[in-house]
Amino acid sequence: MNALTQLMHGFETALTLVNLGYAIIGVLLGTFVGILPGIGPALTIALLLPVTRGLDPTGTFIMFAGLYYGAMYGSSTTSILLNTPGESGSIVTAIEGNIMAKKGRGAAALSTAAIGSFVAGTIGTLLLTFVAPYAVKLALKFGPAEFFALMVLAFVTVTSFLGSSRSKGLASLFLGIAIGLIGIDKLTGQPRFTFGSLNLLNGVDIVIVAVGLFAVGEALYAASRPELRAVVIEPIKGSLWMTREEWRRSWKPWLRGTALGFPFGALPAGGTEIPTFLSYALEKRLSKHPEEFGKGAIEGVAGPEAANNAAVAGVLVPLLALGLPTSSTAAIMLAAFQQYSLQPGPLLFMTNGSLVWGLIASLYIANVLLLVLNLPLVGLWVRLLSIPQPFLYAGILVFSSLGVYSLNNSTFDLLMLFVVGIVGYLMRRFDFPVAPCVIGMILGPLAEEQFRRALMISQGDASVFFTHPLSLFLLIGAALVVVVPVILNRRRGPSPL
Amino acid sequence: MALRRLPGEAIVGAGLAVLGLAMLVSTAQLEVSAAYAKVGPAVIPYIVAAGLVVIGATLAWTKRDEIDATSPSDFVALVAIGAGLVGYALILKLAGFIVSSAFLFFMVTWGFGIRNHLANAAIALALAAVVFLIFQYGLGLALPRGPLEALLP
Repeated sequence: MNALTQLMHGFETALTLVNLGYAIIGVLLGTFVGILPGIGPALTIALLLPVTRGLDPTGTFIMFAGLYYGAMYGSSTTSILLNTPGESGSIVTAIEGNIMAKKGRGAAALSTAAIGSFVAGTIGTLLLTFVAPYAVKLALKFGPAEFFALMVLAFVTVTSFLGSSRSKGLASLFLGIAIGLIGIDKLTGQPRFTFGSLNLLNGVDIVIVAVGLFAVGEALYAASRPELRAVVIEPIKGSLWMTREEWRRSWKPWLRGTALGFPFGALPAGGTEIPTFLSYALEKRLSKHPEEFGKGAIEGVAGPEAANNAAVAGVLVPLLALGLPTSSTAAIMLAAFQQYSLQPGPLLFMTNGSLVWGLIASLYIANVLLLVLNLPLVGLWVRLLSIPQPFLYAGILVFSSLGVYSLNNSTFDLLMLFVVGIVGYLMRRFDFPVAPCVIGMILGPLAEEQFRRALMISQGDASVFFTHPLSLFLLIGAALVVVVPVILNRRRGPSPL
Repeated sequence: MALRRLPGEAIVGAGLAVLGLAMLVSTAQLEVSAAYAKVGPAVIPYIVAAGLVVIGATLAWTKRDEIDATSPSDFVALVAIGAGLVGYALILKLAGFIVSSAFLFFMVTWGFGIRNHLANAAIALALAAVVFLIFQYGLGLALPRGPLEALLP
């Protein structure tokens, strides 16, 4: 019952007045950015990085984690009432949820989403509490070769499971790694890809890349597509108290969604989107009323909403125990750890136990806070949706530019923000996934470091990656992720791509 | 509007391949000492650069005949917002935070199709001033000051 005692200590940390305050700010901000389309948790945490530099790390991470959870709660509201997902994890929610809202059952859809998120978030946090210590034990067996192999596996899964095509995912990943390589090489002190510019010696800040890709790219894309501008906000109709029938039809999808979401988040398999799609498909297949799908089936909201919240809890397992981010938000959180010179992994659990367990305990509190914020108070939040889109994006860009400038008070950074913004626009325009780029930029330099350390230990013998059993196992896993879909496609006949 | 008739994805792919080539050239110029020959600072850059060349070329080749079928982009909007961002970067230190932010805000709303310029400019200035006051006096962040900020305490 070691995890339980640790968790109790965690609650002592999380329940101090200051940290409770951080949790409240986090969930409020998270719900806020979750509801607003065009701004998400990754962008918000990136913009907060410069502000939080001088703050207490424990409080900061409690705030960030609350924000990540909150964004998942808030985005369902936007999906249901606006038919525009607030976040990518809520795309599926919009399918049935918006139809329910149009048919006057919006309140029931919001309820099953919020309660499902609470159930999944709480179970997910419980699983995190008990799985994380095992992941730490596993991580203790890892040397540089194993870490490198694990990162290769993460790269492969992130590019394979996100976005429309594998080659576009790879292009995004390599672009991210290339950006990550810019600057002085840590091991030899040589500048790489700086092209003689002093401004690039310290590398490109993750804040510039995240803000450029997410805020500027998104604003440019939204502005260039006039047909996307017309939006209809559905009013909340019906009772927020779900009927007996609605409870009966919701509770199983909640649990199944949780069961799908958590492992997908925890394995390096690309964050919150895929489990929501799988959950939707599963509910459709298991439903006694499959004909209702596409016409407002409550299961189609309950399952995916549970899945995305459980996935967020899952994402925290590899992030905290191995230092491995599997979503863009997690990648930015890893950058936040680096900002405090903290290295997530087994060492963090030993040296900063109160931070880790305080963070985990605060997630239970965040879930309760979010249920209150998103159910009885949903009417207040909905008013945010009536901010006209031009003012919303103009405001986002004013704050984004301010955030980037405040990094180094540099005009060069602002011009770079513009360039990255164009890249972000092109990626949206031509359907390249953005997450692999962000993950590649953060994880790329770490993977290179492990790669070179492994080779230095083996004195340049590249076979270390294949002779260590764990490393070999991970690399075989990565190879299977690449090869299996190709074979399956061949069997099914020529693929359309 | 001839641009949308071009196979955009192929152009993006070609751009990636060119970027990869530039990285190959840049990496080749790295001086790697013999002690690091096998595991030096050039190994991963070579792999990444080669990867970009291959992926970019593949995209350019496979998508070369695919004409962009989506509806045309609103280029005026793109130019307006782009000009807002670049203008902001260039005038920020001279004109101060309020004027530059108001300019950016105005250009973005313009890009999004709002044509009520006077009201727009007023909203932009008021909002920028409020943000300045909050950050300057509330959070103590030293934002660039121009002629307008000089009027404030």
